[in-house]
Amino acid sequence: MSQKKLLLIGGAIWALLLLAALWPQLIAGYDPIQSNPLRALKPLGTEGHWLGTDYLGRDVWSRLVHGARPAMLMGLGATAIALVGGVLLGLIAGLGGKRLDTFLNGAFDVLFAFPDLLLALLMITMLGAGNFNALLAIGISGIPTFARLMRGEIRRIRNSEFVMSSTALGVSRRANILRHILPNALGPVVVLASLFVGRAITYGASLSFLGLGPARPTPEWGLMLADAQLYLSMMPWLAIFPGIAITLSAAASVILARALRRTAE
Amino acid sequence: MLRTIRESFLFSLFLKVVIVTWAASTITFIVMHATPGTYADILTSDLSQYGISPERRQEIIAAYGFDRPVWQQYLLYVGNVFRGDLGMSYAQSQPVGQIIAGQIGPTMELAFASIGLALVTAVAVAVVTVRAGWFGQGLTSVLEVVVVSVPSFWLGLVLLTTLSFGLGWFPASGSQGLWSLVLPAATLAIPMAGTFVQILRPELQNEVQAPYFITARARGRRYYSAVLRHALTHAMLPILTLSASYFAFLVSGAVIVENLFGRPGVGRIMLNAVVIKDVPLVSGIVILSAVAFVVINQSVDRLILWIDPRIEKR
Repeated sequence: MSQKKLLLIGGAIWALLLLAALWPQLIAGYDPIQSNPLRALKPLGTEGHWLGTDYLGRDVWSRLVHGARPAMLMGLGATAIALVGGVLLGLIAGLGGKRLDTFLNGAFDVLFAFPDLLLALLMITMLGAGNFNALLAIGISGIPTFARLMRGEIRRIRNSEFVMSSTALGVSRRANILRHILPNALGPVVVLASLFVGRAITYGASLSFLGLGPARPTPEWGLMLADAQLYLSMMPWLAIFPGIAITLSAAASVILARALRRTAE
Repeated sequence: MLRTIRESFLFSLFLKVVIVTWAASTITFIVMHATPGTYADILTSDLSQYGISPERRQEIIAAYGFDRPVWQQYLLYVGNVFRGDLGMSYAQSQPVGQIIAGQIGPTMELAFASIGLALVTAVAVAVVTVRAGWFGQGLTSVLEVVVVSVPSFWLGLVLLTTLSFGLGWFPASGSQGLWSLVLPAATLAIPMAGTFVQILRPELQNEVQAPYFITARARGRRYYSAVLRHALTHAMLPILTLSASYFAFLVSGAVIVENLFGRPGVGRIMLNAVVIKDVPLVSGIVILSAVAFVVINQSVDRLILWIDPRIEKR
């Protein structure tokens, strides 16, 4: 597949996701929560419900569309926490003295040894299940990854020739950091962030699939998958569509990350 | 003498395990104390459902050391972890270590089966497609996106729907026999195999252009036999390093796959413990997997150094 085509597909998915997250009523005709037992478990292609209905008679398409909002909130929210926390810690380690750097870098290394889903589960154990707690847990468990990258970039740029020559020309430390080190170090971090959005969406859906995310009847893709498990043999599409939604949004984030990396290079 | 000890592999491994164990127990301790509702409250509030008296509550608090200053509790906790005592599970009133030991077998089975399946699949795909230029190129670039995007719990559901309910080839749940291991292992193996192929294919492409490979071909060795015998041995090294770092993925994956397929194992008790807030059990699993991660990665680094001494120690 050519680069351009891939980028076009990625952009289209992003546009669709944002539209669904911001104005779901525009493309979904039904209430995603209101149940209607008389219309339960309608098959694909039913008039008015082209993707069928679930076990409570709710329109599957409408629930898919409304599921974009929690997914985007999870993706962007968790990424914001990981990004801000990681960049700050990475800055402190990268710009601080040698001792502080050794200590923090050691801490990042150790944190790296924890499987990140387990770290999130540990936090949820204490905070309790729920949408916001899952977001917090996923965001915090992503901080070490960002911090490591940021610290490495700053170290690399700090010792590069152009920063040294600008120091030699008499540019102050502060101006150097703001004008040269930070803008150059942020590039790879932004790429990681766009990749992390997709990962957070997938993790968020995994957690709610396991029953640790938002409560029913929230229209959320992981929950929809959990509910679909009972009907796998009769109505497999109930499980197929939410999975496609998750996969597409994660893929869109990977494509964006690739495009950003190429631009940066 | 002292110098050789300091530089020996076992000593550096020991040092890293000590650091990680200390850090892991510190983190779990902080998490326990930084969150609303103290450790003692959670413990005794659960018991109060069964009519616990105030005196008995005091007894429990004293037994667990909750009435002491925080730094003493911390030292007690970390000291216990180093002695291999991960505490008692709230829900099962059994030592955490014992519970995990009883469940580790099926999880290891799953982990080894997935790694094995991923390696075999990746090698097969890479070897077959190494000659096919544009097709292989397209395959790699599509894989790059798909592999990281498909969530493993959905992959498991799709495999269940098609191969188990649809075609009836595999049992849907349980852990009886090798056959029931195929779908859970495949769920974890497919994303891993996708990543392995992405790395293995370019490596193989370099190897088949190397002089030694052309010599082997000129001596009359068949193409695929030469790939398997010569090129693959070289191309496998990065895969070995990578598969060690996939340990974290396998642990997280076990939580999802074991619950999805109804298999026993550490992932199953982990989720259960999270739901009922069995903090010592969750902490114990987190500490042990961090330590296991360090041991596995260090050992594989060492193994690679032994296979190919040209690679410098990092």
